[in-house]
Amino acid sequence: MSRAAQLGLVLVGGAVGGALRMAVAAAFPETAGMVPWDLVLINAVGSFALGWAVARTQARGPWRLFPAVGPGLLGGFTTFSSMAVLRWSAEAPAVEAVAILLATVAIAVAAAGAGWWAGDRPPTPMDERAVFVEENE
Amino acid sequence: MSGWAYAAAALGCGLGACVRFALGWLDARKVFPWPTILANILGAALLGGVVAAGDDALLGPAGAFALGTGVAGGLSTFSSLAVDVVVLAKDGRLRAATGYVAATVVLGLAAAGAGYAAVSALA
Repeated sequence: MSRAAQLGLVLVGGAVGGALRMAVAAAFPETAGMVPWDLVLINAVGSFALGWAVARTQARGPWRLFPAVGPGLLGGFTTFSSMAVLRWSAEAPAVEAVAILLATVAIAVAAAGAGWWAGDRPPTPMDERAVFVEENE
Repeated sequence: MSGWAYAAAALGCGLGACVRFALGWLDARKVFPWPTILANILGAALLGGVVAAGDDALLGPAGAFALGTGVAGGLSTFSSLAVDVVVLAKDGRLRAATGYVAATVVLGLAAAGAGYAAVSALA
């Protein structure tokens, strides 16, 4: 697939992922405090889904629409920037801001690990380089 | 906010995702996922700047939403971050996984602060 075609898939998938993120955030009940629970949930669900999708691709071979689904939809759905600016957007003290970010990383990594486990059927040896290539293909 | 503002933010998210994807092309070796770290740094810096700009006349609420929630949100990602850590850990590269998280958190927070400070100084 040409790079232009890949970018087209990422553009469409990314726009859909962003729309989903905004929809979930808008539907989420208002919560007190500085933890953005909507984004924690979004990042956990998106990380689970990407872990599942990558493991499945590793086990069963490549998937033409992967750029739309992985880097596009799930990359656009999940977000790091909003988690990194809490000190300024939510006026969180530095210690809390770092703690919230690290806790979100831990939750997302656990979710991605669970997604990997669910998608790795049949269990297949992992090719690390292939995964990093896939992130961009 | 109007439907157009949401449409612009969704499109911005797609464009941000394209920039993140294209950053991966800079990495030919594919042994350490530094393009994801770079995308998250850039996204954090951009959103820091947008937050500092606030809803002022320059951006306006819809512009800030499209640039912050849209472009910066799509440029940065959490799913690749989480999967990269799982992949490094599964491969037994625990030091690389720890360094990856540390670099993302430290540089991401620093970039957000730098973006905020830069736009605050200009405004």
